[in-house]
Amino acid sequence: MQSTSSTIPRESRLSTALAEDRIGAFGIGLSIGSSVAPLTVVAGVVTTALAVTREPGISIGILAVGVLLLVFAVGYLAMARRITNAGAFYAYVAQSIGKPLAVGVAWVALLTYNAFQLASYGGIGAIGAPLFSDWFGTSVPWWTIALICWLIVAGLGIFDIGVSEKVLAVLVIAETVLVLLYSIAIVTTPGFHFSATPLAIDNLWGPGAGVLVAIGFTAFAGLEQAAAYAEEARDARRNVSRATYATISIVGLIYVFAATVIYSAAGNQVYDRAGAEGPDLFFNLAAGQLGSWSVHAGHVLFLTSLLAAMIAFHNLISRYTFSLGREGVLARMFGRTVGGAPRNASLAQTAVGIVVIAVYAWSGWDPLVKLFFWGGSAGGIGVLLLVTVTSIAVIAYFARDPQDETLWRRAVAPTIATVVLLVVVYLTFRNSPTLFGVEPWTGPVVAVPAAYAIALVLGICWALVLRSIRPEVYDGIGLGADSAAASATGSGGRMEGAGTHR
Amino acid sequence: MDTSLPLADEFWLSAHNRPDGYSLLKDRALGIGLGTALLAELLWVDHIRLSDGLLFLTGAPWPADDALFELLVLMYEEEQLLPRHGPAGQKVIDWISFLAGDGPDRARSLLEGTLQGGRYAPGREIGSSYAGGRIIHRGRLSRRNPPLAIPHQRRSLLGRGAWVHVPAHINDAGWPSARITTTLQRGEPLDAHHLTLAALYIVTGLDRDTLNPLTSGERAMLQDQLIYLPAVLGELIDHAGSVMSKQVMTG
Repeated sequence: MQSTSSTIPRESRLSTALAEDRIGAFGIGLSIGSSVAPLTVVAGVVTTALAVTREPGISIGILAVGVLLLVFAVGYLAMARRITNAGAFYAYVAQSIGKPLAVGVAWVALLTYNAFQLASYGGIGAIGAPLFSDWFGTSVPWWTIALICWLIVAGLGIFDIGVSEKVLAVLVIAETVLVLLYSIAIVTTPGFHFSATPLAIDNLWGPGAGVLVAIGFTAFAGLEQAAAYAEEARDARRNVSRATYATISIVGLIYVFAATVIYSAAGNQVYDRAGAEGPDLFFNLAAGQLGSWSVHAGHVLFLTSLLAAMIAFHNLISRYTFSLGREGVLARMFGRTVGGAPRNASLAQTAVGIVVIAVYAWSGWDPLVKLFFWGGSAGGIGVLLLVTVTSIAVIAYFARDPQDETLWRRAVAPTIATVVLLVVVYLTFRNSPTLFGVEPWTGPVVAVPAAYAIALVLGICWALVLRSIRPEVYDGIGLGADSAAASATGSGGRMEGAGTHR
Repeated sequence: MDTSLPLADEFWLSAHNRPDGYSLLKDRALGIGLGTALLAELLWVDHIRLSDGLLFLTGAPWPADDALFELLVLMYEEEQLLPRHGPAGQKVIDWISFLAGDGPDRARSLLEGTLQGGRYAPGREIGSSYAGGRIIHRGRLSRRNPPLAIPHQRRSLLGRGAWVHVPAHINDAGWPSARITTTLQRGEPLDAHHLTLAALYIVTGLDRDTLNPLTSGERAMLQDQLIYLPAVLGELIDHAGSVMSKQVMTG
């Protein structure tokens, strides 16, 4: 039999098809945009931070963190080009500093992203309950709203119903446009004057410096995931870099602008107003120019922003857990797919969510401060720790083998970033009572560092146990989908689940 | 039930073993399984060989099977586009990823043919024979080779839904996995064909539905037997697992 095609195609159908499946810079930016959640940060994190910490310099804190991340990204992206592993931080540490620390880092990362995801339940419950009462005339406790959202997230995860990328893209763009629009509206309000206080660089040398930076890292959480898309990106070298730098810059500038505007417009009563009005402060300030509809629109998009962030972090945690399960770093059952989806990993995160909601509801703890803000700040500290360790990993990696990277990318920028990050880590822990709004050595001041330390130590210990009892799994740590330990069939191992291990 | 069905056909049937005949797997996972099965069929009859992640064409006489013929045509076309001074082989993960996608020349199209809009278009025509839609046309439709699948229009709240393929006889869909489970339950070894099929179930996550009658001891027996899967097929399954994992990680 002969093919009816009498001419040889000029372009490879295979290459063309594979290229079409890949995503570009804009697609990467939108993919991580939901976890960044601009409106949640501006309306939720900034206003709650003002109320709890009473620190004026949130704008300069965000700006400083943005600049620091741009410098950190230089070495980080250089590494991402060489290690294409969707697990990012964990893989980089494994292939540079060592596998035991990498497992510890992986468990810290899981804790960090869970903190963000769980914080969303507090935010949506605290904001959603009064709105539900206003809209429907029925009062419901915050945990009812949180439970409804938990059910939505659980259902999407169990049935692997991906919220359309287009839907998420529209929501992210809409909330970003809203932040800009409302900020401009506030600026154009008669009598508005910009205050230089939020941007005063003195704030970075003041007693609240660590607080500001922790809030800054909370604001930028999720951006580091751009490197996870390196494997699936079209022209990865350019597009992942573009997506990372562009997102940090654009998002950072929007946050700085909006935070400055909020502080300037709220005047001398800014801390009291932030405490009394919460996220409504941003919408109320804009309503002066735009009218009351802007408050309702803001509420709707704030809720969708939180829901989108909740879903985005749930998916991130599921995939991370799946990856670790597949390599054998976590129980193998998490590395199995059902119908092509990481259902076991999704169920595990869902279970954590219901436990946390139940504990807070039973204990009567304030969901806005003690879950949303504390959880988000704990997550911000986690991201700070992960970024710091990764920055050290970048130096170690290129110190062993410079390859063809420039001195700036492999040594100078990572060293600057690492030194500054280490100082920031010290300041953050020293200022954590102010960050959490509690007395020193109480509550989250002790619990958060302890949780991360325990996760790190347990992870290291587990890696050492694996080295002893399952060396083939230990050897595959950090190698991702291509690791021998994740191999499927029997040339040297056993097959378990949708993953392979030799 | 014909027990000598090609590997990809048996995987397709197993993946549609539910009362309504719809797929148990998401499209991408189904595509990965079918694409890997088709490559395994080519490996089995030495039309291609696999080494260190690269596929090489062997120049063996062309297969009579239309789906394999169609796939080999494409592979020969792609081989001629390889850079002169680069490696002679083609990356197997690229082929699995390609075959797993939607559209003509992909695994599902080679097996199911193409359903266009509301009309059924049975694949591309090559000479006087049909290519594409192997499970529909079975080479040449006859009483001895009835179709394994038929087109079916899904019901939708908004009216008529999309066209899909479902097994022609739903009982037939359970036979491939039943042969595996009953063999293991008798404590007997599986042959290479069924070992490969079981491996495909596991790597795509289909085992949760197809191998659930097995006890933990019988699962362990399967694990032991998988070591004896021919090395080249084992390597192919490994790569399918990588593609599957990457698909999960990036959504």
